[in-house]
Amino acid sequence: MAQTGGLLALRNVPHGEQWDTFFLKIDNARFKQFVSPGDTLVIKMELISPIRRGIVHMQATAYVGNKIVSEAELTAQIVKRSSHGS
Amino acid sequence: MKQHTIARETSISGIGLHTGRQVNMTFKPAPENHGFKFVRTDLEGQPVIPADVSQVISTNRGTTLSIGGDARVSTVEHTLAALVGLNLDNVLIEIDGPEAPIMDGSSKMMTDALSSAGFVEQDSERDYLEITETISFKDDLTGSELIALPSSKFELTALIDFHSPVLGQQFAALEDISGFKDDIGPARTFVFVHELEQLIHQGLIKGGDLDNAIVIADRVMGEVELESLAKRLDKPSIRVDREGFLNTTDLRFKNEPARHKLLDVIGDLALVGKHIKGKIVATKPGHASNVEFAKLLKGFGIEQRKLKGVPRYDVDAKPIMTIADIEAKLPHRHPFLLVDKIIEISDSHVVGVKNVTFTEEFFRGHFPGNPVMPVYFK
Repeated sequence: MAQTGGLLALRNVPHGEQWDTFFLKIDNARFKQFVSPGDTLVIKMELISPIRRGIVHMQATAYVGNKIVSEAELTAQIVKRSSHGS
Repeated sequence: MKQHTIARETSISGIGLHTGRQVNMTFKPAPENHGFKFVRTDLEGQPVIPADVSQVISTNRGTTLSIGGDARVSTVEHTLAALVGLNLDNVLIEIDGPEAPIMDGSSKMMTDALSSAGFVEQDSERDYLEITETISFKDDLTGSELIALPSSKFELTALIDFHSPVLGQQFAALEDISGFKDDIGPARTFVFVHELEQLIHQGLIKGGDLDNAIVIADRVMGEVELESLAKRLDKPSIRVDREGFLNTTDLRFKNEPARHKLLDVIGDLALVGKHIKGKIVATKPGHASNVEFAKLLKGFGIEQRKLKGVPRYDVDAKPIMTIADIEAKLPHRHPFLLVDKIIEISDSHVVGVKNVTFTEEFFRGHFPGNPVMPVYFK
């Protein structure tokens, strides 16, 4: 979920691979169904509010077929690596 | 499309076809998400009867709604068809008797009254029932069949076959709801002479009069018979014209009976509770089959609602971002790159897909003999 969301956050950012995504908060996480080998996870991330100062607030829902297997509210921050990093 | 109601109240008065009773019907503006509801103002407590398929208690010669006891209203189909035909969403219908007035056997008086009241656009968007797959109903006994197919708008085709030398087979079509007022609304109800006599005998037609129904003579009728019928219907004389239609009113359309059957389908499908986006093909429809079909459509709508929000994953579709694209954007690498492809993306949402396979590292330890994906990897 976090990685899918990271792709949304980094969508309009040039050189996205130079940015790291760190979790700040996870709220209202529900794990409703087991996920087993053979399942195809479809993960939907929706912005709850516009991205401001690198802070991303999203609603995450993971589906296997038509069933919700887990959901959570994720708050993450994207941080650019300093120029002398690798 | 936004929801609509009428701008001011308007009334019509007439006689109920089966009860023979004079009744007044007043259409009033209603708030958003109210739908179509009837109110029996003549009964204590002014019971409200919503126009919903779950309220149908009879489809014998017309559709009857009831919430129990005396709180009922019958022959609602032409009134409901007019409301749907004019693209309205929210209207309160006050009625001071048990049966809606038959007027001229069509929806014309209703559409005229409602149009004169003017329409008002409301703030909320209309919630449609969108047909996304073929839904069908067939009654093997009567041969009635209704099919709903996906379409971007509400369109209908009705086919009738009465195995009668006069009526034979006819079809009518409505391609756009805007055509209802002029092309379908004025189509009057019809009955065969043999049915007319039976209905009078059963006490089911009292107000029935040659001016509010097309009567078809499906057999040769002698002078004596016509005279006796004229007497019973309080007419000076009755004649049968060349094609077998009784009375002096000319047909409004060549296929008026088929158009009326289409009108009935629209009226009965109003009981689904939502405007429909779909193409309806109705073969030999009747109120009973229309109502059963409405139940199926309503059930489909409820299922659809449950699935709202589930992203549609088309395995054959080209992904928006492949694993290579993802690697270019995210710093994560195996064994921590957990999204395989992106299938939807916009400025406010993204949908990714990850196939879960037995060979993933974490299954080895979580748990041996019972592979379950650890929640923090989801």
